[in-house]
Amino acid sequence: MERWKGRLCLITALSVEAKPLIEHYKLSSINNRYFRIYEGNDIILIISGVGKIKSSIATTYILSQIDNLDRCVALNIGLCGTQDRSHNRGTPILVNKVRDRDTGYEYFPDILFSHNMIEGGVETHSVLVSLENQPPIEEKFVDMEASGFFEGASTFLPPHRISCIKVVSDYLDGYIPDKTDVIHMIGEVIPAIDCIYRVMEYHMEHSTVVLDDREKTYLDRIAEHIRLTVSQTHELYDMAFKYKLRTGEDIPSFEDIFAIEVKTKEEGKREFERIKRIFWSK
Amino acid sequence: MKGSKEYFGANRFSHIYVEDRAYEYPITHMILDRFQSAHVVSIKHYKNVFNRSKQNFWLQKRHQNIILAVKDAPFLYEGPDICEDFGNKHFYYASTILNCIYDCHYCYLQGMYQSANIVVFVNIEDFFHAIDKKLSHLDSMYLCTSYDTDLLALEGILPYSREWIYFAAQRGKLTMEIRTKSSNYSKIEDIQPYPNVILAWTLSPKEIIEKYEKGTPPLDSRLNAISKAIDDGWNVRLSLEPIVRVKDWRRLYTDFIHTICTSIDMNKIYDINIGVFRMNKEYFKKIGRNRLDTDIFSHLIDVEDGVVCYGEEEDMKGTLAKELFKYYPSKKIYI
Repeated sequence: MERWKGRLCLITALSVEAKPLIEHYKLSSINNRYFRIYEGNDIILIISGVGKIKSSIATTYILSQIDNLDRCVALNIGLCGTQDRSHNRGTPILVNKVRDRDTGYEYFPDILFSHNMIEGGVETHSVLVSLENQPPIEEKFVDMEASGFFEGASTFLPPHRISCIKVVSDYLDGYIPDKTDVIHMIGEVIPAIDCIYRVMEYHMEHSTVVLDDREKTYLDRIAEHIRLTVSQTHELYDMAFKYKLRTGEDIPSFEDIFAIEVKTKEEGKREFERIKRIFWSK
Repeated sequence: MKGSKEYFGANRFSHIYVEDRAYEYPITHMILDRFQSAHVVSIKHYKNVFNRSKQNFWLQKRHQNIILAVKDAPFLYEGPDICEDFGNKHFYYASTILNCIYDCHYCYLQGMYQSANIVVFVNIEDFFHAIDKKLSHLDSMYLCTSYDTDLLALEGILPYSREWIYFAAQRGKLTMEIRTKSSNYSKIEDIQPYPNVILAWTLSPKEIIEKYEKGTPPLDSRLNAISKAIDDGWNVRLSLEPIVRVKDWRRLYTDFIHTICTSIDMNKIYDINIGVFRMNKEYFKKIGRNRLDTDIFSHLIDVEDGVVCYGEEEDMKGTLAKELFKYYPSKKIYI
């Protein structure tokens, strides 16, 4: 199966939460046996179903199919409840802590950017929390997916590329917003998603690359031509990497090597020693 | 919602993570009062934040946050072999803070910790009790309190140097070193000097500071701080380390010795140590793979018993020592 090119992975529990995102980002459905998945323009969205286990499975599934995880961020978008009525319905919360109610495990994204959203901790419960069925709650906000999402996402991604936005939908009073409300509330969060993605993308784009793709291909060609072992190829990469950092120059040209026919290991070793001398000459 | 430009770069200490049990300590409230606009996140244990996997140390370094925690025993560690013991028999160190606000390219903390966030252990009294208990079994103790951080650099936020000095002042059997690159001496200049407290300044040539010691005060500022401290009567140690191998290291470090020795009254310096760049091999590998803004980790190195060092180590130490001998008695130079 071809791997997905998505750079922004959106994970929602419900199709009604996904709807405004699919429309806004003009995503198209992908044929998939297990999940409803949509993609387009570097964005891929998966609908997990309700609950932390389903969220974890969907997050793991989507991230395990991504082509380049070094250039990927994961965002969980969904609804949450709170007892604090000072937060209006529809208020987006940037999650700075997730606590799993069942295990007590805590998860933390790295929020390395400034913003003007409200931040808060979310407690993930396995069952619906309401006034009648209200266990002690340690965090300000309550949901049913975030811990599963984080558990899955942290297997693949660093904490500064994992984020979670929850929109206040109820006060744990049994109120269930209708579909139109949910679509509207999630739609309002789209500018925040864009901003978070932009800053994460900025961090990725501005991460220094020492050896570019062209140089890596060149080194691979050399390694193949002089029959280097896996370990010698690593050493070749390491020398090239350090040479560039040390000298600030491009890696030297080894074009003459391609004119030499390397038939035996000994011949390859001899050429490799010559390459080493050149790399360490500066 | 603000525009994207405003989203880049959180301020330093935008988030303060607080262990539940740390709320009982006054230092916690002092820091929370100081950073009132920070987001406060309660946590069960500091390691839940500090030891997360896949953290980007260097990105975090640009947006450092604080973790307030309560340290459990042990509070005291035996001094590592890689560090100079200055001839002291019972050499220990204690870390009330982990990590540093400076960003020195060669710093071993980058290899040792998963996170660049600063952990402050708010139960400094427990450290004091542990040291008292140890002291009761010893005739003397040499204690370093600023190894895994720069205490004086943080003095404006957290007056731990002051606390340590007052603690040491009442314990004659204890000799304590506070090591720093800071020029923050003004934060403790009101304290009278105590004979068993050594203020140690780490110094490097101007060129090395500019290239490899990001965010640290310039050499001039450090020398000014040293001059004030020795004039006030403090025991001041000069720590000339790590000597870094650069192209013209011989000239650079020779000029550096001359600059130091003609800027401050060397007769008043307590002692001096010289150390060449060395690092645990695993830390070296880890930092070398990830820190891409420096050439420190890209030179040919030797490895001896799991420690990375330069082949020219003896030559480098010898060169500096020879130069220092012109200005300072050799018996007080530790190499």
